[in-house]
Amino acid sequence: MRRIRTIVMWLVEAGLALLVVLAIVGAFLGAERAKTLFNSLPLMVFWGILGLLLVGGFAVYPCLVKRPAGLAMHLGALLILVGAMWGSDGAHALRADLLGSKKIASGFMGITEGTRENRVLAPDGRTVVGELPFDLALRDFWIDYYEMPGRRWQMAVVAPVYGGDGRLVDRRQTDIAWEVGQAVAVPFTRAEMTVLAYLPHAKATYAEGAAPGVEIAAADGKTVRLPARVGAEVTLDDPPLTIRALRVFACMKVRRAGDGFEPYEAEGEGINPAVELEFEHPDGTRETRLAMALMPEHGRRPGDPAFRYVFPRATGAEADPDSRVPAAQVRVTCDGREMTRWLLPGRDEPYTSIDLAPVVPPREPPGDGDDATPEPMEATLAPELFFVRPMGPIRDYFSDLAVMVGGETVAEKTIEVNDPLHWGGYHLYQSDYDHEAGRYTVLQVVSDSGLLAVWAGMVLLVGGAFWRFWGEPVVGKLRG
Amino acid sequence: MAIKVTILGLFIYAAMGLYGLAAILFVVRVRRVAWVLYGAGCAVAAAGWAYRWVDAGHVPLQNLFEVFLTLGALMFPITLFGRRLLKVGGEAGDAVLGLVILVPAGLVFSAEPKMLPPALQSWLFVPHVAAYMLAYVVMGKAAFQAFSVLLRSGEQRLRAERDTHVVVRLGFPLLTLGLVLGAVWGKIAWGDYWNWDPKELWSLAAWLVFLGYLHFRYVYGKRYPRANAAIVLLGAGLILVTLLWVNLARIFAGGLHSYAT
Repeated sequence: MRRIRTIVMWLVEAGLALLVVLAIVGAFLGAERAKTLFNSLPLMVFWGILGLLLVGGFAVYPCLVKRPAGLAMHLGALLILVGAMWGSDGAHALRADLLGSKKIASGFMGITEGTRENRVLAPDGRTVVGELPFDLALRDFWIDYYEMPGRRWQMAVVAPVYGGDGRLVDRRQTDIAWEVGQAVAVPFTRAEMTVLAYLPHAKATYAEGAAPGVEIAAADGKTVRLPARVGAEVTLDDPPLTIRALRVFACMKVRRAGDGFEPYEAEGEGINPAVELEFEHPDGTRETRLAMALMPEHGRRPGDPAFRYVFPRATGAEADPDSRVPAAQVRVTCDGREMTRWLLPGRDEPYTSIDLAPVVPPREPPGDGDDATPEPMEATLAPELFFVRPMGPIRDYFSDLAVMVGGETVAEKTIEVNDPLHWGGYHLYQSDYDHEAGRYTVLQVVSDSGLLAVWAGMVLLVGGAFWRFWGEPVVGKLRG
Repeated sequence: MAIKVTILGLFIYAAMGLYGLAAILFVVRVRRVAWVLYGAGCAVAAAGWAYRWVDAGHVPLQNLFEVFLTLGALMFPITLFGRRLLKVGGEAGDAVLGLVILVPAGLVFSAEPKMLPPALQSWLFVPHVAAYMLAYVVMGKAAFQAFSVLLRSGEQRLRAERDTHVVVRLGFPLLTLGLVLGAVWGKIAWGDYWNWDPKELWSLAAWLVFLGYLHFRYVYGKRYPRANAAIVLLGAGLILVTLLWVNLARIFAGGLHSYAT
């Protein structure tokens, strides 16, 4: 027995030494090649031997089984080994070959806002490695930035360039240095801009009848405007309806309630202003509808008069110390034409813009305006003036996901980096997004096979270590 | 590298100076004064810690600067704990460790809250780093004891060997905890509890060496004190590589931990 114990212990020491060497070699290889090395067939045999040594240790050293701390540590190590092997790419491939398992080890998914997806792709972003047994719908995606308090908002101009066939081929943009009261040239145009006023904390003011609200079309095509204000009411003659605003949302989202769905206020989690409407028929029956800015068709039913949420143009701005956004009044002049507008961003918007078409005529050539050298492409059409929030680094990004099986939403979660969705045997992580428009999320998909064993093993390993080296000596001292 | 021209910076530099002087005095055996200076250094570091708490409005354990500041103040209690409860010496080495630990706090890490990228914003960040740094400090203490084993002979060598063993047993659970917390954080943030990147592999290698030491000592006891010490020093060396080299060297191409650069 003693000889066997010696042999086992020597094998353990040799195995640990070999693993140390392999780890160091792996460190020099870098993450990619190290992963390949440690998942290769020879290493699989090695892992198996380590596992057998652990099992053998239990057989050969009875104290390991009797004393809880030692048992915990070694059992924990064994569980980690087994769980890790069970969850490895190789094990998934083996189960696919031998058992026809459809479980995907890992991959990526790209989902555009408002659509669903169940295909999982390889890291190259194109090869399909499999399909999930459920769909994922991206209901919304947004990014949070660190605020740069005290920094002024910036002005910029974006001048689109269209090709001979009328399609957009390029966008030129640049910042405009501005000071209140100073006239500056607007690059890429012949226009000049002056910031007449800058309010660091402002709110919009609207002309009478022009506040945000729901525009409803009567049968004769005439539209009425219902202000986005609780209690506001309008009456239509044809079809005969009284329409009231029941609730007003800054950002409306929908969640499951009982058999159906209910809207709720999710202010700060994106941009979807909405109004909950009540349609009252002459016979007294009432129905509710939702008029929302995003995906407006979802709120309507057949037979309804056409209605939509409208963002009107603010006609002015006034100081509001509670506001988190500024406002700037600009006057743009070009070739004798003039316009004065307010630039007023929404509460969580990163920027706002105004179209310079009223003063900068179409086909305005960029830069020099020299007609003697015509551009091969059609020159710029109306440029836009942008008022941009000074943003710090990205703080976090969020995807509001719904898990759908057979058309039914069975789970939902807003995930962010560091907070995945766990469903159907997979973890779904917020991985990346499209940096252009922020309408497309990239998720990392990871199988959860073997995870429970690994967690249990880690708990046992750490708990056992603390008990053995911290707990037992203390208990021994207390016992005298 | 930036000198902190603040009150907090003064506290830290004063503590560093006191630790440094104490270390020298311990080595030349002017022990009474050394203890006084060492204790004073701790008091100054602790005062800085309290100042930080009041100034920042939260318990100083929220970022790297604060973790290292805390450890700098904890060095003296660790020495005391070693002396009184574990019957282990090594004050000189401990004072040096205290000085070294305060260097990043005093000269490298910013005291201001950083705008961390999304991946680093996890409640597990601080526990993972704190567990590892505490473990490293303890294993550093063990390494100094292991050096003594090689330098001394006879009774003193055996005494140093015993001390080494005791301190490794103190630090090993912390090392294991740091490793596991890193795995948990990795799974929650990056999708996998192990990514085979260089930092992980070096820290795994260090952990395995101490694991091997514990098994070796279980079988052979005190029979080969210098072999025991050599294994501990190898482990400590690997900890140094994990700490210093990986973040700086471009040799270990890429991997998740390279966001530190």
